[in-house]
Amino acid sequence: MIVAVLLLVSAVSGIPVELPKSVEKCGYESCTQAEPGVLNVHIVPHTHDDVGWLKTVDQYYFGSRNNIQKAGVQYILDSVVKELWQDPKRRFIYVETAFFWKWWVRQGDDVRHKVHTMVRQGRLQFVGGAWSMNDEAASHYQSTIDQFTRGLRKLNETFGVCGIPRVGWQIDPFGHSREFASLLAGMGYDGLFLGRIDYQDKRTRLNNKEMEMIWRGDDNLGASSDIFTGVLYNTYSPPPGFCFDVLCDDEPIIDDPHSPMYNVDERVDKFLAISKNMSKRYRTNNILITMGEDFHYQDAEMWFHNLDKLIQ
Amino acid sequence: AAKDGLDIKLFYSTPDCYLKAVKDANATFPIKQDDFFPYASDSTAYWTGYFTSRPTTKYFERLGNNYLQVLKQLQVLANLEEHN
Repeated sequence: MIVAVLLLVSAVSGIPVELPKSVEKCGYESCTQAEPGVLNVHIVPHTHDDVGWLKTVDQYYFGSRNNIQKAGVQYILDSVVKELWQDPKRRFIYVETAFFWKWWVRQGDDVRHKVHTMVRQGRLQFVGGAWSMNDEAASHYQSTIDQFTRGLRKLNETFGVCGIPRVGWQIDPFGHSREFASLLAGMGYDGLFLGRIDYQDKRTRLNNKEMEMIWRGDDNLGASSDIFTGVLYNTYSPPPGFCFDVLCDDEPIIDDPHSPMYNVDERVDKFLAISKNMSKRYRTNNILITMGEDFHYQDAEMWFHNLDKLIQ
Repeated sequence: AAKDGLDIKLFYSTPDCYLKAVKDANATFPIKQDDFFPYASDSTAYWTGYFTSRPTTKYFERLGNNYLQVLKQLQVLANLEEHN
């Protein structure tokens, strides 16, 4: 009852909501329940932030040398936190703890308090959570563990149990090693999501509904090295036509019936068609749609505004 | 309103929550026991060059890892305080 009143007040006045601590839940308990008998479309907003690539780590963080690539992670985290705070239904995942930590140590009490609250409520979730999304071909397993330990320790020290990532998120590495799956299972992760697998393998898996599997990481360790592994449908990009970042130029959702640009029916139909098509390739009545790309959400409002409308 | 009456539900979610929903659905999945190498994005693009690219950087990283492990052990043996 109190919650309902709070929500109502906030909807009217635009004041962001802070749930009472007694109803706070993170992790699996914070999930919107999937409905049996219908196709459940999980909309997952994310940003893929390379820890150094075309620019250095610091250039990416501060957004300098934008003539090379338009990317500034500090703005991403600033604007995502603002937008998440506006509406408790919104969700965001963050992956690279190297960037998150660079940002976190520069925040004041007000922002830290908000982030704490949203992590406790499962609105901001860490996936992967290592210092970076490491390569799986050229890396030594010892270094992989070290960089996981560093990222996870920072998250654990800062957020406790609600900061623990439950799934691995290797959406960009070029191929995947079995040892990595074994390490993840050993570190207590429940699942792993992949972006890039061989194009022929992917074709076969799509045709046979084998995009999701149980990956046994190690023959000697056996069942304790098993990890649920899912291959994402569209690497890690949004479906064609539904990229709402400032870096994209897809049509926004225009829901003013008096506008000649009104396009809700057409956009919704297209999205439903894409969803149904995609669901033919997966075994359960759930699909995961990644809504984000490289260094997206520098202006998170644009993404969330359109996703809100799409979900409505 | 446009999706009324359709058997589809859209909502904000996360990979954790997707995983939970998949587990709750109790489906059976194939088992995989090998790796995902090599990665090819199409028939003429096998991403195997990076296994050996920048060999000096690769060497420096391995060497750095060795030093790091040595330092960690010395730090513990000498009872030095942690700098993290």
